[in-house]
Amino acid sequence: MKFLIVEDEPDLLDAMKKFFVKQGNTVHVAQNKFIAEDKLIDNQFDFVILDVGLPDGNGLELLSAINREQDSSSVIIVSAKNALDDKLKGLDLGADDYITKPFHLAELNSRIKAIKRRKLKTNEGFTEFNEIRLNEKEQTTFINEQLLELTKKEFQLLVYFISNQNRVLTKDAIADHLWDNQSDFMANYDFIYTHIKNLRKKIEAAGGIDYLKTIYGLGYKYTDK
Amino acid sequence: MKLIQKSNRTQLKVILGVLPLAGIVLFAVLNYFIKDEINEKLLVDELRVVQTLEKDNSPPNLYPVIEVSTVSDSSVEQMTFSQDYIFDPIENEDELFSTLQSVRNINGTNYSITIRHSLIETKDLLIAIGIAVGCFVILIVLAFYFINRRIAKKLWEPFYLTLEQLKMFSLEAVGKFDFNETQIDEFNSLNDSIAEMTQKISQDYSTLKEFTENASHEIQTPLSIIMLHLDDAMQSELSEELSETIYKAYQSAKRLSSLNEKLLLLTKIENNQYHHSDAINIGEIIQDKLEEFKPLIKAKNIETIFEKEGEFIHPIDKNLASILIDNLFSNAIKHNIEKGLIEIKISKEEISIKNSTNGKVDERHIFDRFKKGSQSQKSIGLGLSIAKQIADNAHLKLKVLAEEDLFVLKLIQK
Repeated sequence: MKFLIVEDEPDLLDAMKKFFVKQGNTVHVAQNKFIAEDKLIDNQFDFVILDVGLPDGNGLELLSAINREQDSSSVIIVSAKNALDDKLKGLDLGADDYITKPFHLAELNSRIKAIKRRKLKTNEGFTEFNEIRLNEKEQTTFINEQLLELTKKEFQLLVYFISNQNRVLTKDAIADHLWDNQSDFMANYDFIYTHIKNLRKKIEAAGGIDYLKTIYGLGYKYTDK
Repeated sequence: MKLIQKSNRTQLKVILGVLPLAGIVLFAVLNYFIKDEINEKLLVDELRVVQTLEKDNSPPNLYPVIEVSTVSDSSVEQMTFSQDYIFDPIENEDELFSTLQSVRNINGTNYSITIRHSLIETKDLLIAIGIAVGCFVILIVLAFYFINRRIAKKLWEPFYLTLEQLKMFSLEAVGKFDFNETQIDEFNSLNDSIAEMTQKISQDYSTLKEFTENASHEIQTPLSIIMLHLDDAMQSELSEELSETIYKAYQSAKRLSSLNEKLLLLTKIENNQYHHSDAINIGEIIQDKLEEFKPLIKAKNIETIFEKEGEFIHPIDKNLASILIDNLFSNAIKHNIEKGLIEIKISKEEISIKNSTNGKVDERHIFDRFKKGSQSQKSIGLGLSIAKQIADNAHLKLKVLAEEDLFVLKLIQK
């Protein structure tokens, strides 16, 4: 897939670029509105990651250029301001999602994958990982083509793991994902263990393999390697 | 006390002090002139008597006004004025008379002539003046009262208009004051100063707002970078020791970011930046949140009791209402004990969230910032400050009740 990352902070830009290139994507970058407009005219992108605060203006102003120049690119707005009006305005102007700084790359990744699946047709909107198959539109899980009953949170958890396979995921990132950034209302992450324990049990009982590895002191990694 | 009352009272005091004084002066002056005039009249009368005596020798006698008698001893001509009470047979009482007594030699005969003129008694004069002054006082007070009331209304009207606009002044509302030009210089000057001041305040306010948001932005960006790099570092094979170090740094960065976000939220609420109030059914939000928090409640094996007697509806910003309930719930769960209890009661007037806890908390400092109820690493100590700020902002009362092993938070409609 082809990405355009519009972000003025070089460190952040590098980290994001590295992450998406590693996944096999083509990544273009722009550090300001002016360069971004040029790139939008010359190229077609699948995804545009757009920072709101740019040195030469508000990133939201690029949304009209994206609508004009791009055939089918999806836009994720990145903002340091957890300002509600920014969020509503962005979504109104045609952005697909909104993420607040600081964010986990895994979170950005799972949002991008979710948008990608949403844009596909129903029968193609599957997430597959070896013997596991998830249909997000119908919220159904299959192990070896056998239907598996999962709770909403367990399903969300599994989608997140598969979207971010081969990556160390901290408990904090998982909690933030499941709880929509409200995880600091929790005294501890005990309840995540409960969800993970239940998910593991259900998959193994249905004849699936437990791909979730515990990484000491950090969190988990979903991998078949 | 209203300004007009104050000025009325002062005026009254002055009048009440000055009028009796005026009465005294009036009395003295009148008394002097009356006496002077009567003495003059006595002299003229005496002259008339003398002239009558000079023409014919029959002395006129008109007791008590005129008395003429012959005296044998031929002492020198003399004249004395005096005042005394003399019985008046017509009036049938003693009256005060001013008397002129003179001895004259007319055509060789010595006459003693006494001319009298009845005087108004001092007492009567005083009473007359007193009545006049009293009437004055009453009339002036009444006039002052009615005139001042009418004038005050009319005169102070621009002032009250200004006051009304000032009361409505909100930092959020755009648009300037609409002061009408008045005919009074003082009010115009007041209005100008207020307009200038509010404009300055609005400007400072928006600068501050911008600053807070920008500061938050500036802090979140480096934090994002720190977290992304730490996240990146976690992806490589690490020793246990290094894993721990990195995770600690990561958690601290996360905490700092969350702290920053919450302080920004507090500032925003304090600055009244949330002012879209709709009538929100807070009871309904609680029911939704209860479902959402279930895993957390279950994780601690907490029993929940939910009672609803009525709908608690209050005008509040929807997002703030949600944050408020989040914070109250999170508090009730965080500081709860294993196998504890959360009891929620909702009525039309109040919402009470009761939770079991370990040990009594100090009620006085419960809403202070950075006061942690527990040593929990993840707790920042802003939750209840935020809850309090939201409640204040929405004109709700947030009451706390701490007992030995129970903690109750009540949200009450004022």
